[in-house]
Amino acid sequence: MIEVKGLTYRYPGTEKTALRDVSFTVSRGEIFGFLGPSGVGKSTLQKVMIGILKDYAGSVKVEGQELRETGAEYLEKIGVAFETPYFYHKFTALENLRFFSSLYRNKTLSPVDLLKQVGLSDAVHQRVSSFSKGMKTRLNVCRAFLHDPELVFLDEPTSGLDPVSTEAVKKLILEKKAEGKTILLTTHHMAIAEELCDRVALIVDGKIALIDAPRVMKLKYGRKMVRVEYRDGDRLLAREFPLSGLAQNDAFLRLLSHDGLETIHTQETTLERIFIAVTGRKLA
Amino acid sequence: MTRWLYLILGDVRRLRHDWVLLMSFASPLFLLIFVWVVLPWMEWGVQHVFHFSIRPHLDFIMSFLALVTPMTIGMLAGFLLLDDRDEGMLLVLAVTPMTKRGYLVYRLVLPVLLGFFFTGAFILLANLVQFDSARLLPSLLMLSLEAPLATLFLGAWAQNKVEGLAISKLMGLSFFGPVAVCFLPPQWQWAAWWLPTYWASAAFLSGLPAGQHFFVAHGMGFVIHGLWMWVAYRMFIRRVE
Repeated sequence: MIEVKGLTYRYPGTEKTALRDVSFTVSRGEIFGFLGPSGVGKSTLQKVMIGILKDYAGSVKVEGQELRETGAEYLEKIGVAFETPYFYHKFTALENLRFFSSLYRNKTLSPVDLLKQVGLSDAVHQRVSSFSKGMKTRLNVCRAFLHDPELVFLDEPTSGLDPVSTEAVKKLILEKKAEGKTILLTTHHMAIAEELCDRVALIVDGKIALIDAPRVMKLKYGRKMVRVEYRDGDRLLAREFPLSGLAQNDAFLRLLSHDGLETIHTQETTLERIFIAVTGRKLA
Repeated sequence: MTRWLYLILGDVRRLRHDWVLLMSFASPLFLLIFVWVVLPWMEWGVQHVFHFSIRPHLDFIMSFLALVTPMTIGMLAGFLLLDDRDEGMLLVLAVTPMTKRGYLVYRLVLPVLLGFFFTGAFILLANLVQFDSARLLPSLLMLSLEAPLATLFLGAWAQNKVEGLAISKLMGLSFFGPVAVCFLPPQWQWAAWWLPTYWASAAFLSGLPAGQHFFVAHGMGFVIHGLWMWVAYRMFIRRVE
């Protein structure tokens, strides 16, 4: 669905190149994540793909169409939730969504149903000025899906959400993926990226350092070991065993029947550790 | 067109919550009350106290008052534009089929239409001066261009609504335009040529029965308005990009 080749971008009047030779593809129905700390080019990449920045070098094609040649018809097909949820504060949630519905030619989804899906059914007629940050974030996600777009850009869609709301938003995103929507997620929340994304791209200094499925990355960069923690009297002890041949490992098998056994964990790594290993930078 | 309808409904809903802006929308009505009720009393008072008739100066008064409506509508649109910019709505609308350009067209063209309609209605209903309808139309168009100019000036130079208020007060200086046309000696007229309101008033007065230089006033007026609009538009775009 998306094909990016050699994308380079520099903001007019600046020396620094915001994006350098970025290449990747995204398939239809995929949730693709962009991971990286602030200021590495994630937002610029999103702006290029949304079609706001068109003076880029290289090629960015969505369904075979070069983005710099697209017009308002492209905007009919995409949904965008910026990190900051901007709304008419004097309008209610429903009034805001109805207003945005009016901007699209295609039939839009029911705003009330969408609000219900993210747990905002009690706030349908509440003015946005009285919304908490989390409520605005959920409303923002609703707006991105409102016109039933094929391609959706979500920037930190769970920012400021409590665990229950986070689950509701994640469920909505996964439902949309099941419907065949393609979703591009920008985040620095490891857990969200791991749970939702089919593949993630690690971005640093305007370049993609690594692209792969979170699971594959974790296996590739993790240690194929299992760590067992157990208690011997007052002392907490730990031992590690290679995963291969674990069933025949006598020491491991003996520990399994040890009375003081407390935890057993495989030693695949986290996305955060992979990011640091690959880029030498921290995510936060 | 449906999008415009929803944008208008949205603006109306926002104005409903803002009495100051809503009252300014009623400025043509206040002007009519001034012309119908206050002006005759003023005329009588000035005549009796100072033995001075304002009747020969009705053309000037009308050219002055005709600027109020488009400028007020323009400032009103300017404050809505500042609101939209401050609340990030420009960015959000830019990624909808409305597009940023579509939004700006709406925000600038609607004040022209409203300015044209309300200023025309005011001139007709005030009935202070004689005019030829065919010659009034281009003058009306130029007067209504004051509206998008005021909108763009606010958008280009105000960081926020507080600065917008200060700039709107400064824009009151543009009422020097009609004063310059009517009272500056001919050899000093050029000093006010840079003011769009100078040409708007000059164009309006040139269309009246005693008016002169109709084509020069209109030609120059449209050029000056176009130049100012281009400068303010470029500055506004630079601010929002």
